[in-house]
Amino acid sequence: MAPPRSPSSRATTAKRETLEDRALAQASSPPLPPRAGIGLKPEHYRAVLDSAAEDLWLEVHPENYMVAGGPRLAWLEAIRARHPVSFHGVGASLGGPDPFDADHLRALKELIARFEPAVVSEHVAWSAARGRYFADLFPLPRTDEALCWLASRIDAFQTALGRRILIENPSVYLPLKSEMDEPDFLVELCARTGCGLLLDVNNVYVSANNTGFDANAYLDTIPGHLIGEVHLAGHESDARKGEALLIDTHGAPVSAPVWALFHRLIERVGSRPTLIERDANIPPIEELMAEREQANVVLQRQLELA
Amino acid sequence: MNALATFYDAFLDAVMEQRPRALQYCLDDPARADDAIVYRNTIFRGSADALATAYPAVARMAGAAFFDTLAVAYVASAPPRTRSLVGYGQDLAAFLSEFPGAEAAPYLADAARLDRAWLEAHLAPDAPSLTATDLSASAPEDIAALKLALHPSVHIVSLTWNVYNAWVANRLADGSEQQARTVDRIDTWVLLWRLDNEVQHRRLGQGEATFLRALQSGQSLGEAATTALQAADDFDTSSSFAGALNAGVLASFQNPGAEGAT
Repeated sequence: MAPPRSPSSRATTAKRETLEDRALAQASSPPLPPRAGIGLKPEHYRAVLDSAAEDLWLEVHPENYMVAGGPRLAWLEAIRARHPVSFHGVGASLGGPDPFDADHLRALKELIARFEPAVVSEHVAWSAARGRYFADLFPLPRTDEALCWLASRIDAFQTALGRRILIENPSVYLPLKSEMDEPDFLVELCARTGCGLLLDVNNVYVSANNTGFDANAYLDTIPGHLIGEVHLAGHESDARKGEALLIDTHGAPVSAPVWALFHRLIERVGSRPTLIERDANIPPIEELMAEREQANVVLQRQLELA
Repeated sequence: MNALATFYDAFLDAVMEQRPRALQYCLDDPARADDAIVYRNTIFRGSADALATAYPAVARMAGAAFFDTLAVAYVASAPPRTRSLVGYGQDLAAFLSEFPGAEAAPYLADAARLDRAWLEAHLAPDAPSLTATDLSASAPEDIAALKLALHPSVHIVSLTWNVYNAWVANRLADGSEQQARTVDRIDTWVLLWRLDNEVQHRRLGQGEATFLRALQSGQSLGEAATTALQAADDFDTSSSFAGALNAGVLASFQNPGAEGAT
């Protein structure tokens, strides 16, 4: 179960060139527009397919489409014919002790080949061990050992998929003893593997609240060129500890302080594809589209300034 | 053992075995170890929500409190092993039939069989259905010898409780919760399949169920009709065959002597 130490730091330069070549080879799928998209939910398939919203893009968990056939795939195909799509994976367990799941990897590659997502992302987390899948995102201490292990896994995952991925910063609930700050940890992972960042502003807010750091200072540290996508979501207070422990439930509207962090981030780095992410207490699509519009106002203003 | 391997073990010990103290050694503030319960809650919620999505009628008929108790026990007994939860909960019907507390509602296991068949029909591979035009390629005297496969989405579910009507009412998104206390114990059969990307379902007579199962097991049309007549002497071959054909229940077409359908 011991993860091997990674040799990837020695191969950084060569690795980057290969991945840039791969990125060019992917030019057939159009990039996500630097506007706001929404997470695609089955209850909204029809409304999304019929939507005339300009520059709308959709994000899905590819694991929800790892099925033999039927309407789910048909809906995604119809929607993909009209709008760009991104894949936000939840099942790779990049930071975990087990080898990659061969069935999962095969299914993911088939879906990528079929739907040509503009972006593929995953989490800086682990979710499987001892043959069991936990359907959750477990934390890792930010140590040199974890950094090397994650870098080797991201490298292997990108190689298996034949493309660059974005990695998402976690929501932190436990103050794990660590050797480096999270921004440094993430930036170093990007440097070693050529991957980019999916910056989840709500996760930064939740983690800052739960472990006591300055969310603005964190965001100000992230180099803009690494940010390929931004996530905005809602959180809820823990039933036992209240506001002292915020849980990243994706079950509520984006909160005011997260909007404020988002404004500041976009003013600094420029517009980025931004997802309104909602996975629980799914509201009518109009509510998600209203949040999308709120994000678009910020993104549009920045595009006009640029 | 390296530090990361030790951490994985400590984390799983804290979360899965409910021993948060196992994590104290690697926390800046050891008093926060109890917060590991957050992960226990989210792990359970993720799997329980997947079960409730897969078994919407059972969740309504059982009521939220009982379904949660059931889900806790099921997740502990059959945790997810694949990285997609779409098909999670395969054995819930069998689990329910043994589950303490479900004795008062023994028909719930049958409702679970129907929910499961609905999901499997929904996710089954795409395949064209047999059409009358396909059949017209055969001479009328050869039809009885044809071996016909069923569409891959087809499920023929045998039930010991007459739960179909209650199940249908509870599948409807806007249907109110129904306890279905008056379900009778009667053998019934239900057909579920997918047509034009929508899952269909209807009650089957014993003859029809036997007929479709015989086709599924590889019998020719003529043999399946004989088998069905033995099970139910009111079985009407031509109307059952035409009904199955028109509803898209039959799939590809195999010549006499070919291997039976799966």
